[in-house]
Amino acid sequence: MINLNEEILLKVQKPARYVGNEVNSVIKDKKDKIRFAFCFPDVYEVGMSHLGLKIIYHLLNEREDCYCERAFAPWPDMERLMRENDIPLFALETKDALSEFDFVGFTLQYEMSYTNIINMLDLAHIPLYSKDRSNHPFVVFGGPCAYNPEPLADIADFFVLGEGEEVLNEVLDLYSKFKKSNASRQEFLEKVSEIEGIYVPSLYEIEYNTDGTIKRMVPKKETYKTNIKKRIIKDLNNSFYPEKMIVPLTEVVHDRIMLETFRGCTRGCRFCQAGMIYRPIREKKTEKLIDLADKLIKETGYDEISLTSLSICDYSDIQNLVNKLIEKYKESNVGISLPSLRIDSFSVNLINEIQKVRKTGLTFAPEAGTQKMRDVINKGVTEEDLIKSVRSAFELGWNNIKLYFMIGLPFEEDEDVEGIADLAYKVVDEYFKVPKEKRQKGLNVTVSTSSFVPKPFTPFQWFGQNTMDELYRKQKLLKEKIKSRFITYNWHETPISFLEGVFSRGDRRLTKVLVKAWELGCKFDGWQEHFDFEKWMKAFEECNIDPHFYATRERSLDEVLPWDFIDVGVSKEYLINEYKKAEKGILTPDCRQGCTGCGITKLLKGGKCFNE
Amino acid sequence: MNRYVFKLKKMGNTKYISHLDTMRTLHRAIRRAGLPLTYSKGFNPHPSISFASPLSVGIESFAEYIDIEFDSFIDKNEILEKINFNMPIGLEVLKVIPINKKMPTCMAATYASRYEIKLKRSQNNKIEEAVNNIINAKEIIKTKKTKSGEKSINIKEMIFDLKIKNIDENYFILECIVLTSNSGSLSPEVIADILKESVAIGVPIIKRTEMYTKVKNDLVPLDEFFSRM
Repeated sequence: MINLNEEILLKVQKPARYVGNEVNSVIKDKKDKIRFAFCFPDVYEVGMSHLGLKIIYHLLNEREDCYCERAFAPWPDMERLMRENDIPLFALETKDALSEFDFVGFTLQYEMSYTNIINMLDLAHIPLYSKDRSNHPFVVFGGPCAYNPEPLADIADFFVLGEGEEVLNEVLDLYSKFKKSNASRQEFLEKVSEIEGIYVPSLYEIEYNTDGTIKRMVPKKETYKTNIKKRIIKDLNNSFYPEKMIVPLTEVVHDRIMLETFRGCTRGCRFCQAGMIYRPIREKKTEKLIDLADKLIKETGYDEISLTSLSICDYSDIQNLVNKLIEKYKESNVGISLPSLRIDSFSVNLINEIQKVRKTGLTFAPEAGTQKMRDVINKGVTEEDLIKSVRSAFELGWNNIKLYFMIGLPFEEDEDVEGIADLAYKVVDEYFKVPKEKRQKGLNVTVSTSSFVPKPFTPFQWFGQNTMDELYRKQKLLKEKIKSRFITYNWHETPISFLEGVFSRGDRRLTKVLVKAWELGCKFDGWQEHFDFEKWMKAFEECNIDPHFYATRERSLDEVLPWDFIDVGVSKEYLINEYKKAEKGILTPDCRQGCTGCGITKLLKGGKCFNE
Repeated sequence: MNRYVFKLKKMGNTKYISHLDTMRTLHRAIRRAGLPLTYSKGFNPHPSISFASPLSVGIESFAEYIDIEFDSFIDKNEILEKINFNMPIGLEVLKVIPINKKMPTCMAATYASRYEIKLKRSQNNKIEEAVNNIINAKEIIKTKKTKSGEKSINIKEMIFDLKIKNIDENYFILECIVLTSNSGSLSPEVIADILKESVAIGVPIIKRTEMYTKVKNDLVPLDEFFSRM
């Protein structure tokens, strides 16, 4: 146990980040337990807002033979003091160094957190490369970015692909036998690789073509599997969900009950990785959710519940669920919130019922400015939908509208970028069409654009990302088109999107770039104040790697992609077909209206896609 | 409406929780305990919880006073039992005092706080000298930044008592009673800062040990004051 005294904690910002002791945190006797450190490679307030952490933390602690604790990236002020005082990275519960654990598991939510992982391993005195570990913890990665595991291949001992609830238990069952045996680390890795959903990168070698593309992936032994299937929880309604959910003592980003209503999405937007990798759609039943809400309110003391999912208004019983929750808790001051909104009048009315209090901002995501582009990305909404929704929002008293768009999408032309401005102007016009006495004074329309980053397992996984110069040009084009005092234009930093593009579709050769960038001082790259693009470019140069090869290069459809050996259920044929349909602007309907044949049912072993 | 004054202890790692976070934590503990907390009426209902005086991050306390209202009357022992069962380690309600409607709020009643300041003992004679300098000074003028520029204030007037309480091998413990009121407050850190000007004292470790109201010319601990009435 490390000594975390006043000399350290009184010198840092927000010392509550480092002391643990939260309500419903788990205190156990650590003796003879399998010790698992769930690590989130960002600061405490971000990590403690992550639902996956809470599920896995409480799930693993259900086991008598396991003690799961948490660790977060220390803010640079704390890191400096830890290094000066020889304090290794520790877990919040026991304050024991991470190096004493059996497993150190990181969730990969965002490519720009990779340098924080390296920094945390270094702070924990765990060798960065898996080949250098002996009696150290096993370093495990999971989460959405694990679907392209290759940029971290040399760091990971193994990856967990897909939903972790069942597979982690299988891993721990195996480990508890391993611990009692005399088997070697290598033997455990070989054994664990046999579990479905587990990928052990050190068991494979990659051969390359002369042009730098991948020739093939070769297992070092014939017995190693060559196809890794993601794991799916079949019965979400009855799967584990924490009721005594941990409640931080200091305010975190999402400081409320998160009630997961369903997983997956049926919309099929072609840019969206979550929409593809989390298939199939599985809902929890309304009664189950009401019951969970009740227990969570009692056990946490929170006064706000957020209904979470990818696209909340698609929950098949949403109106009834919301009505029941409002009815049940109107006396006890519990608020309900919906995190994301689709563009339709139904959603606007629903949010109106919930937000009786303050009409703060309302956010819509048309994603693209013209109908052509919305058809390319299969967004499935029209300009009429948007105009109708904002009209009802204005009539109901909102005056602050945010519109989210992407620039740099495939098949985008300048007029599509300009279309974003046109759409914003139409929203402004709609406001003035509402009679003066019916609308709230002081219109404010915020247009935000992010730069599109192609992601693995989407129909756009072959697309060459726009160059930074091209993105700057498009931002400028749009800026010049927006002259209204009612419209504010914000854009996402282009260099960050470029790097995200490199690592989201990167391969094994990038591990050394990550390590080099970290050596040059990169960390907290998702935080504007810490991001240093020049250091990153220097890292690429010193490693003799061209980042454009990964980000801006259009792949041919027959190129071997670094993540091809992973089976997420959605087939490559389906993705290719979707890419071709995108070019022609042909829509694919929502799969609730009929199966579109994405391939996910193959992973369900004859199961149906919907749990109705 | 049923009014209560809570006396709260904030020890160990909970001293690193900010004032607002302590409020939130207490609010949630009351909700978990199922106690009938009163909320303000209107569009944005607020829980009826207010602290006598916010405590800086890093300071422990044996005496945080809080006004709380419940919709119905609950026996104080029942409150104590239910609330403490739901508190994180380090926070504990020491006393629950039912009070009548006409009583002032804790915030309005508060006049002074007593603190213990623990300093690393290195050159102890010099510390004693530095403490005595403060005790014997007629006035100590410090400039304070305000919205309208800088203001000179005599902080000596805000120190009602200052003494060396204890000296052991490693530490040197001061005790002070300082002004804590609506019209102004003195942070014990200011006293530590003055000592720092002449002696090396390390990181001061501070505890609030009591809060007082003023009755005629006497300082009366708040719990005694509210229990008396």
